[in-house]
Amino acid sequence: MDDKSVRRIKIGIVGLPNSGKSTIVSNLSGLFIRTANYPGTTVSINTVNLAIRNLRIQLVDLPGIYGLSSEMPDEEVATREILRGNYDGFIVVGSALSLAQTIYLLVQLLELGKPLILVLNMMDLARKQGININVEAMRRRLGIPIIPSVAASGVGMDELRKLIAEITQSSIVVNTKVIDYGPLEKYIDAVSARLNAPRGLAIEVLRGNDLLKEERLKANDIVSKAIEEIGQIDVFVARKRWDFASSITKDVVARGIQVNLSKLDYILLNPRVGIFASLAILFTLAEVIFLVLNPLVNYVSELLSMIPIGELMVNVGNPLIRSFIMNAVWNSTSIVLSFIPYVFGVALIIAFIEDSGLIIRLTFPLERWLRRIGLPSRGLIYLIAGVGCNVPATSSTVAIPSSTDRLITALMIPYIPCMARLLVISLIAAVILPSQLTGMVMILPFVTSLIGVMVMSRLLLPLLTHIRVKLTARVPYAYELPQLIIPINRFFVKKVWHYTYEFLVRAGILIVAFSALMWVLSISGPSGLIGPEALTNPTLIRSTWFSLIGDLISPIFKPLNIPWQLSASLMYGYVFKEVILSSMAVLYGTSEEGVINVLHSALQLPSALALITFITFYSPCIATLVTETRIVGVKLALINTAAQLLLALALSYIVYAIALLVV
Amino acid sequence: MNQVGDVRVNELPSGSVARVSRLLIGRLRDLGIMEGSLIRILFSTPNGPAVVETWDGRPIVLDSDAASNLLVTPLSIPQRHRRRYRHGYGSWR
Repeated sequence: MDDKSVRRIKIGIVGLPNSGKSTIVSNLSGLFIRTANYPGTTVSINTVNLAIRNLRIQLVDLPGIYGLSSEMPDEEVATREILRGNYDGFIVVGSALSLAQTIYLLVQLLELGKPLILVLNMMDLARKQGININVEAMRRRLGIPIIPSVAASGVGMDELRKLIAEITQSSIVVNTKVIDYGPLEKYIDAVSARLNAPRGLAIEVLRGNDLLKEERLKANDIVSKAIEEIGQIDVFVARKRWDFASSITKDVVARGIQVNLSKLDYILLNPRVGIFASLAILFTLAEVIFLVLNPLVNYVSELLSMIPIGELMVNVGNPLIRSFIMNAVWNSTSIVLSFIPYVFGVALIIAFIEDSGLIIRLTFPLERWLRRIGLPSRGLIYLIAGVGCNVPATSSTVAIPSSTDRLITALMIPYIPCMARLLVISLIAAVILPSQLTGMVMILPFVTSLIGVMVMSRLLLPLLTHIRVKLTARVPYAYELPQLIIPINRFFVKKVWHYTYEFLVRAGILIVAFSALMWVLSISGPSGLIGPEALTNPTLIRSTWFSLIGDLISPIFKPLNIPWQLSASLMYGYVFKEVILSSMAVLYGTSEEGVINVLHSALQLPSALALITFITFYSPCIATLVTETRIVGVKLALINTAAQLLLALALSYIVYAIALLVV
Repeated sequence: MNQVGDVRVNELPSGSVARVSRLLIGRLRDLGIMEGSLIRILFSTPNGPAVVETWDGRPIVLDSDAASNLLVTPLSIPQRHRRRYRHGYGSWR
């Protein structure tokens, strides 16, 4: 296409937290963008490029906001972009479940005078609740294009694509004066004229928006007069905007006011029983998923055992190459393949926790108790998000405004078992525990990590004041409760697939690479090359590097009856948790099925439970450690890592002792 | 100084209805909780977080700090908690 005919525009996606902005961007671009059913999933700006006919569109997905006041860092990022960014137009994503809140935000965007489109998302959930919105009447009142949508299933996206192409054309004209502010109008005009700024910016200057301090200085005399006449301008403006939002809502919504809570919410949010109900749901879900997956696990194992790898390797003459292919490459590959059902099961549970809205219900009854040990409510959301992967959860803590809250949350995230750790744990549990109790694997690590967080936050909180000089006070946090839903839609399926695929590809490459390294360490020692015989000869293997490493830490695990081969494998978990199992396989010179047999014969129930407890939080992986260091600094990160190891050891000894008494 | 009868929202039991008398954090205005507006306390924990319902039926989650910074005038308190609340002894739970 002729380069001259190509037009480039920049569109900002603005919307309420948890209204489906990222799902819409994902829908339009076809890219996978992490979404979840709780506010604050998008904490930074995501940009995607889109081509519609001769238009090259830069779509900028901004963190969710309720208004243009910015008290949280992520909201500040969005507000700064809206007020100062060079955008050709905005797509405002609102929720049909919170129409008044949507209009309240929309008005502030309208007043800025840029072309915009309103996407009214979650229309399906609104209809289910008996909320009937007269979209046509809304269009007439607001004078802008409105698209009713269900982003999760793609409804309304074609229309949105069409309208984006027209956004900068004259067909979308914005009425900036949707609200008459009465006595404030003359001051708005005066500030607007003085600063040569749009109406919306003038109102924000008068309201005292922290991001517009420079502009306020230039119009200080007008602002002072306005305050003298009106009093608290921010209260006055907010009241006018809510009155407007309320009047439109009453005109276009045909239903009585009713609370957006389900019957289940009344149980889950109950301060007394909520936490137990949430845990019961999680436990049942995990049980069902693992019971259903059990036949699949067996099927994959059978399939792998049918591959005649030994016979295929007969023709390979060189024993070193043969051993490398069989012990390093094949054994680790078979482990990756046998992971698939487990990875899928864990991905399914994590995606469900994230998308169902259960995460908020879990945090609510716990918050009061966690506050007592120094953890903030918003931090709790990141802790639970750490179940997926500690790395993004740790880096997302930048959105926590108070440095005390941010530091303590970032320090506590490595105590939360991530997907990789849960996978290793679930495999050990599947081997040791009766199949009916495999779901227990989802509970034990969470209970132990909760104990870990409670103990360590108490210990580390006083340290913060010694190590970090500048600590800021806590900032109160409030948000709209997301809907409780059963997230069965194509985005949920896409998310489970993405988590499974990402993990298998990333872990697959790592596992094979580390298996090769461990194979080298297992067939060589200080005396030089020993040969592949070391893998099958118990005497020879004691002279290898791997054995020497194992000997260093085996005394710690000996009282727990954990063999040195297993304790040596744990050392490699410091690099990546995914390689623990493959290192076991290399060390025992066996395949995936072999690892299961080895674990079965090498571990008694108390030792297995101690091992599960230890793996739950003995160390963060390198990627988490790097991210943690960026947020909390080197000193705190190192102290935290040492503390994790000590706590993991102490708790695994306690679990072992209790298990010995009970079993 | 607080008006007579103003209490923190998390001092009232679940099921109470109250009028907002003072906001100590401006963010709540963006969520539709304004001075003078009516709210229903759906869930509340003593000195802890609360879930309140706004005039248009939206449930808003307030963390402990936000709940402690929202002062309200109680309009109605569920019957079962009334005596304990009035006499101010023990926890209403």
